[in-house]
Amino acid sequence: MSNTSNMKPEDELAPLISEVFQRRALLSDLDQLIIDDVRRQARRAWIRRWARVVVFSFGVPLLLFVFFACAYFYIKEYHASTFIIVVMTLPAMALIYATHRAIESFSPDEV
Amino acid sequence: MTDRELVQQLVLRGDQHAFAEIVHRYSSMVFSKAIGVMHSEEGAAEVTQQTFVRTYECIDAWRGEELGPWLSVIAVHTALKMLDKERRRRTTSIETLPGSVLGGFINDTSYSEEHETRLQQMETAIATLPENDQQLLRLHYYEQLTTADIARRTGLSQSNVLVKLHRIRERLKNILSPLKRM
Repeated sequence: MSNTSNMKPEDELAPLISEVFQRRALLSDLDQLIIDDVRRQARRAWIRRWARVVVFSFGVPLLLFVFFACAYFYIKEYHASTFIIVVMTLPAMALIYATHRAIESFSPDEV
Repeated sequence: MTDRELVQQLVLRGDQHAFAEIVHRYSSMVFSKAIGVMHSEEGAAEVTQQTFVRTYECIDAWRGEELGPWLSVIAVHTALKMLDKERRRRTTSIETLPGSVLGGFINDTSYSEEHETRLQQMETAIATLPENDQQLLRLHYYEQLTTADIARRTGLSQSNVLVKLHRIRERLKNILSPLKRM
C-alpha cells in the first residue's frame, strides 16, 4: 500500500487502478479460502453428527446388553445373594436412568 | 436474491452455494472494515476469514433484512479481539525477543486512511465501468501487458486499445473528481 496524497492526479491513477485489481485478486483468493474452510467445517460437523447417531443407536444398547449379560452369567455361576443383587441393582438403575435421560434429550446436532 | 433468502437457503437446506454468495457479496466490505482497524492487509485477511467462519457458525441466530451491519459488527469485534490478543502476546514476549523483532499485524506504517478511502472510491468507479473496459484496465494495469499484447488478446487494433484506455481513464477521472472535492 502506498501513500498517494502528494501525487498528481495522472500519476495517481495508474497505481490506484493497479491496486484495485490487486485487492480484487486478494479478495477472490480469500473468498475461496473461506468457502473451503467452511466446507471442511460442515463436513466435519456432518461426520460428528452421524458418528453420534451411530454411537447412540448401537453403543447404548450394547452397553446395556454387556452389563446385563455379565450380571446374568455372574449370578448363574455364583448364585444370587442379596448382597450381589443390591450391588448390581445400583449401577443398573444408574445406567437405565442415564439411558432414559439420553433418549429424552437426544439431538443429533448436539456434539 | 435477498440476504434473508440466502440465509434461509443456507439454514434450511445447508446450501453451501448460498454461503459462497454471501461471502462474495460481503468480503470486500468486511475486508475494508478490518483493514481500518488492523492497518495491515494480512491482519485484515485473517479477520475477514475469521469473521465469515464465525458468521457461518451462528448464522441461524441472525434475524434481519441485511447482513451488512451484522457482519460489520462481527468484523470489528473480531479485529479488536485479535489486536488485543496480539498486544498481549507482544507484551509477554517482548522481554524474550532479541531487539525489535516485532512484525505481525499492527502498526503497519504503510496504511493510510486517506489512501484506503481513495482506493474504495476507485473500486466503486471501476465497478461502474462495462465488463470489457474493466478487462482492458486489468490487462494493462494489473497484468502489465503492452498494448500490442492486449490488442492480440482482445482482437482490437493497437490504436483502438490506446484510445479506449485513454477514454476509460478520462471517465474514471470524471467519476473521481467530484468525490475528491468532498
